Amino acid sequence: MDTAVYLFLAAEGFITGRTAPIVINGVQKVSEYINPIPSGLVLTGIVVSVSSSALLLSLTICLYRRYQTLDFDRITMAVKKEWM
Amino acid sequence: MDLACNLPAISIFLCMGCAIASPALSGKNAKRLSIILLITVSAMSLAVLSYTLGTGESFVFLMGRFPAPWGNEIRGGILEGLLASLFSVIMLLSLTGGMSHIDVEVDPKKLNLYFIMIDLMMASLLALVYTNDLFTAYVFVEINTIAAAGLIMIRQIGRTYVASIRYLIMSQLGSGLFLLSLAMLYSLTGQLLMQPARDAVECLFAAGSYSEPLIVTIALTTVGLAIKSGLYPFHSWMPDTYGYSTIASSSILSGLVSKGYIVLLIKIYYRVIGSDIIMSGKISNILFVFGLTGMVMGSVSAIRETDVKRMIAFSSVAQIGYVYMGLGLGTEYGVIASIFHIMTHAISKPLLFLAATGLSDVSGNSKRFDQLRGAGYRNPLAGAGFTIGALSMVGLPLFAGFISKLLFAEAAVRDPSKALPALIVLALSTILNAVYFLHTVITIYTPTGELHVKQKLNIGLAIAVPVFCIINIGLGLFSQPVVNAIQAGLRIFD
Repeated sequence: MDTAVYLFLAAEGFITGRTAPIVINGVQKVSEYINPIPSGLVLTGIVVSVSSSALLLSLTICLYRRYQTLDFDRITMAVKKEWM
Repeated sequence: MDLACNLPAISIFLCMGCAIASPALSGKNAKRLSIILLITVSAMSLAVLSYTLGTGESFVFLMGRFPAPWGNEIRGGILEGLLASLFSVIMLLSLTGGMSHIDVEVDPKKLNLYFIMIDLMMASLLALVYTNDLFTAYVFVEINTIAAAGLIMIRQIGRTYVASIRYLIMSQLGSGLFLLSLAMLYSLTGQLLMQPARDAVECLFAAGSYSEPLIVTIALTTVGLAIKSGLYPFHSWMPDTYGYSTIASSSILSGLVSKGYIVLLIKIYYRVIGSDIIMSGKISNILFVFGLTGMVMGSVSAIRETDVKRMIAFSSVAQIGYVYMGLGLGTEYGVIASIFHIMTHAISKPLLFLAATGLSDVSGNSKRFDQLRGAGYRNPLAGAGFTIGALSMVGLPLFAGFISKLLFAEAAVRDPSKALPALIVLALSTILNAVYFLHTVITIYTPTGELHVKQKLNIGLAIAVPVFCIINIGLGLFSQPVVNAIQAGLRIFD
């Protein structure tokens, strides 16, 4: 879902025919460049969502090591039995 | 610029710095560092509070000295100072009270990791309270989520793995919606700082243009943050998360984490969208209905529980419902009552969790009611703490909970169209609260079995429980200055 939001943000910040605001060949007109902020936001957002994906994956590994399955129904049953 | 204006930024960076330093330390030293940090941050927040109370105005701190609309800002006011002080003090007390359980339930090799999460959690809570920039708020919302998941899964049992997966998935949904709303707001206003965004939103509303995208933005923000704070239909992650994690984590999660998001929501309502636009719109009506449903359904689920920690967790669902009901009243009084209830709940819930653990420690570590019979005699301190917390939750005079219910009732009466449903549900919910909390209090004071058990004194609990009780009764007896401070803080919030 986050990826979709990033695509939305990136699409918002893109204008056909313009490039990132890095001065090349001395062109300094605003109309030649796009707004860099949406791209910056996407970059920050990607870092954030990568770390939470990593956390979710490591949790998945923990669950698999403990219950030898990734079927959430079976895990829920096993957890309930454990607690009884 | 006075020294106090620098303190919010310093306290946030101090927390982040300690979190970065902790992996290199041993578990014991990380614990010491965390406790020193929390004491320092509490002192700094109290200094900010007394400074802003003295000047009666808010201040803006420019990060990196770039002026608005370019730079990043931190804003300190009376409300921010008050909430930051409360959050840091409760964090410190919850940690002290839960320390003996942390030593038992957390793998000693991973002890320093737990304190990284605590430091990060404190940093993100402070940032959510102080920040004046929407994207900074989003980043710290995510840091908060990850730190919270770490706090849950550090007790390595099957239940907490499942609970933290549930929590992460729901939270990711919430932050995704929040990010989407920020993207839309940015494309409408071109601003990420709250003040310039507010000016742009006012212009848009005055011109009547882009009204639908603006409404969608408000709705997405509200739903996103409501999911993260556990408003009624999105509460499914709460009982497991609060019920099975180690006790300090349960106290911190229920007392502070969900409150941080509500504070952010109030901030966005007041400082970005504008309170008059929110109050005249339909959003507040929707929050009102969900808040009322939560108040009843949370209590009904709590009555059915047989596990005392899960019961307290379900009671949190009801209390979050109260807060949203106050926001949904759509008046200044409603918001004041909500903020006061945030404070009440933040001091009562950790007390209940800590006391309940103290009781279950002397009942063979069982949290089931039939085992807890007579526990109040076996551990008198925890018994007294639980009773005070329970009476405050039910809303008896003398305790903080009474004042917040009184404020809700006063706020409801001022709005004729919402007064009747609000008062009826308030009464109904109070009765339901009384049913399960007083039932528990009676259970723990039913003399059966062995009444005197020799046990080692739990120093952390012996410090935290009395302090929580004193704060609770203090807030109940001398509520007027706090209410005045909240009111003054909201006035300068716009």
